[in-house]
Amino acid sequence: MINKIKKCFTLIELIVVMAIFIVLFAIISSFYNTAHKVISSSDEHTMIFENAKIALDLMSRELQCVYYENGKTPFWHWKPDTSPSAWGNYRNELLAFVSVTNFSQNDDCTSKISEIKYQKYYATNHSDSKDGWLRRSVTGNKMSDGSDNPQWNYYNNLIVGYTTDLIAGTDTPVASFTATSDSNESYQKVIPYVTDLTFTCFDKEGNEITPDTTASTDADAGVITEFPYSLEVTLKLMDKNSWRKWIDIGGNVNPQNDTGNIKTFREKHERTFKKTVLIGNRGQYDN
Amino acid sequence: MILKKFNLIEIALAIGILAVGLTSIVSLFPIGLQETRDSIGQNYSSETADSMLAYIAREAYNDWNVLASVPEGKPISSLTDSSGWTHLEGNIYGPDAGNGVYGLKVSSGDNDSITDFAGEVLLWKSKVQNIRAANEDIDELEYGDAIALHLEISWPIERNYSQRKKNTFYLELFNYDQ
Repeated sequence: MINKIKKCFTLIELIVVMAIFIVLFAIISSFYNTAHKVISSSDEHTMIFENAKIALDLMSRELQCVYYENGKTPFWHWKPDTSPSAWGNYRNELLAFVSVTNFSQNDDCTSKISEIKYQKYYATNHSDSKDGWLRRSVTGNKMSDGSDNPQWNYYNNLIVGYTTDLIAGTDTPVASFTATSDSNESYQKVIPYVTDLTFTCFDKEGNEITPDTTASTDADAGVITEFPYSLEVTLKLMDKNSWRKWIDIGGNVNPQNDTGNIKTFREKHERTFKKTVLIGNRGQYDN
Repeated sequence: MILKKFNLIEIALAIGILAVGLTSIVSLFPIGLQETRDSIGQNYSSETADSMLAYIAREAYNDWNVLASVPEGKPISSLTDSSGWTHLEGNIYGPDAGNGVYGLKVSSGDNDSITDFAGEVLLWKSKVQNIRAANEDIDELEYGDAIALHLEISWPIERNYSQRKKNTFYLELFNYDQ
């Protein structure tokens, strides 16, 4: 009978190997953790930057193609001192202008010239699916009944996504031909997780043009605010994960009202982008 | 039948090889991160350059004479940090604008308390050359008629000028209001 001698590890050998492994594992995992945090932060930043670029490129392209006709084409920068409740979900700063677009002509718009409106949606609670969205609407030169619009100022309620479902009124609504991403409102959702959108208009000398601050839902006829020579768009936004965490810890639907840790968190994860757009002299200085 | 097992030295060697392998893989992370940071910097520089050129164009079309103070040769870098800059508009600052040296700073936070990007802009001019207008070849236009603006953005501001990333932009402005 042959004795089988099995050479096995001793306890000490195993402990030494495990100790070496633990030390190596600890070093590698700590490095991995650090790298993971930096990569996540970098991914967040990239996502924010991409969203900001989409929005600012779209806005600046349409602003550079803005159309001016003396006394007829409105340019409306609405920035209320207080948010009038009559505006419902449309209380944030708004920019409305006429621009030459690349939309295909159809029954709602028989020319390439359309009205563009930009506004951040004003939510009253975070469960609203439109909370934090930058919205854009495009309106054609035809009324909803197919008749021609009588004037360039062809909206009596300068509201993003205006339809009869939103504002009760006697005016014949104009036809909007942006993609309808919600069941009964005609506007486009441009980018999400937006915490603020503001505009600053300048004249040729670089002086700031005072925006319309009246708490009125109806725009005045004709030129609403002075047609600018250049303007600055300021956009503040977050990435998806930070936005969700910010809401979880109690972020205010009106982010500027955040306080304490919630404000600190938002400021840490929110990024600000500014873009100066040159419009130039489109005839507004020729009078 | 004798079963040959691994001994401690073999295991230690295996772990050592594993450690070297993992370390070399992990060492790629910083390179990737640096590339990402560079890419973000490139994006910021081109976006802010666009705003800067729009700002200069507006100033020039309002008063063409403002371009007289733009130096003809490339200015010498003079900024080493982003503190104490004079704000002009948007992300544009003019700490030494008279000598063609501007600052670009992208900030976040309610009071612009977080600096995301800070770079130095060197602005200089030259004459617009070799154009054809009204069926005529023109070798060089006078500064009163047109101007070629050169813009170099270098970042991050904390580094020595020679060690910074750099992007150059070019814009021709024509004085059509004269």
